[in-house]
Amino acid sequence: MAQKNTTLSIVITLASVIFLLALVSISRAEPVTARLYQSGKTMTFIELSLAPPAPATLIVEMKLPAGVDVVRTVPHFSKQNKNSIKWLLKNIKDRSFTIQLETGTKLDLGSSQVHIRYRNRDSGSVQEVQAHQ
Amino acid sequence: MSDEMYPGGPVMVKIDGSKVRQIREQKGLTQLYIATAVEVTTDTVSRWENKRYPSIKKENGLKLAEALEVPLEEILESAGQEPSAENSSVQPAGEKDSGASPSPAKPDPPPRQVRPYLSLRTALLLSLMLIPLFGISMYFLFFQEDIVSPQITARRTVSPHFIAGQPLPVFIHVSNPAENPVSFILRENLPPGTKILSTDPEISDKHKKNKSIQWLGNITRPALFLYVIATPENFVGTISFDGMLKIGSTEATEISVSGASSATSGLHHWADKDRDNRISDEEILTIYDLAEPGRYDDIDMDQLEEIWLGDGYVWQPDKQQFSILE
Repeated sequence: MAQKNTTLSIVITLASVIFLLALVSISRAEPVTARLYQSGKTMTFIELSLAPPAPATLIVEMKLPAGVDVVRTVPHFSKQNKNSIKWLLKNIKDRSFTIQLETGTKLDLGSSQVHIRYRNRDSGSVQEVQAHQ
Repeated sequence: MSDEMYPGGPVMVKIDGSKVRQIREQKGLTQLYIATAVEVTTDTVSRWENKRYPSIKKENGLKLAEALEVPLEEILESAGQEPSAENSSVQPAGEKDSGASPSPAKPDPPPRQVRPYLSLRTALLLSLMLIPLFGISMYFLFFQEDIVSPQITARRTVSPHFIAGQPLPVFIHVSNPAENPVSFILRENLPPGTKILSTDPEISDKHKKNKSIQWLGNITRPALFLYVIATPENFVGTISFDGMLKIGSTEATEISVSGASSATSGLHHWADKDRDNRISDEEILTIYDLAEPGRYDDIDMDQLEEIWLGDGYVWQPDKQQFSILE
């Protein structure tokens, strides 16, 4: 009985520690999050939210469905391939940043993907996050 | 049968309390008489009869049987008869009532019962105590990022390869965990044959015909020092770096600059870490993280960006320029 209680006590204590660690990791915001949404027929927005330790440089890559005609973007894209556009965003100081994309026809968001790459200031490794819709 | 040997303890027997009571009452004996005969208190006898102590010392069991004028077996619990859960406790060492008067006026020490919830409660209390400890440790871990190792450090970052004649940046990160400003001298010996193109911040002194450079000042927070060098265009080989950081004024401490200490000439851009003739997303992000874009004139970020945007590059030694593949 005593051994069973000791085991149970250890399990409870460990579970509490794991729970607290999980709570801390959840409560700490990701440095970069992104949202993809539309307004009107032809305007699409990529809204970036940054939290400390926020990177100052980001690479945003948007994969587009075939045949989409990109009219303009603000800021202007850095690179455009057949089915993707890339932005290199430097010296970002604001906590939020929005990229506007105007297309010739309504963009199918279900067939679009946006990936954001940045260097994590704590670990030094390059992270990639995907914009949610 | 009903004999039990508890590890490290005396031989115990399991008695049937109701039988004990029945025999005692049949024979008109009082609890006081039994208690006196067995040399225990009347409370103990009462507990035996109420099955609160179903396991007793065999020695006491024999005395009890003698007092009741029956064989021991008659008062033992029948085989297969399990004591109920609430009566399953074993009488503790106090059973003997050593030297105790049989008088009921002297109470037995309260029985020490094993309470399973006690250790659970302890675990929960421990867990609750962990919460503030976690809060404090997480605060220091995540929100006090300036509080790092109490030791001041200087670390050099330089590409392991470069193109002869082209600018090669050398970064030195100095961290000072102290809150008060610390005076320092950071000195780097320039690799032989190289010339210095620029520094940031401005160097305090240039020694011995450009053989070394040094910065002098006070440092409070982590700081970045940069210098850009170039070898002659026809240079082939490896260049070595070394430097030192001297801190404090009264009791000066000198440490070596750690980190990368050499670079070899080749045909790949210094930012092309994996030498695959491309500048990847990771590589450009690393450079932009090291060197704030637009701050350092001698680091051609525009060229770096053009290579990144292209499908690759080739160094043309005859023209001393990069050919960018589209």
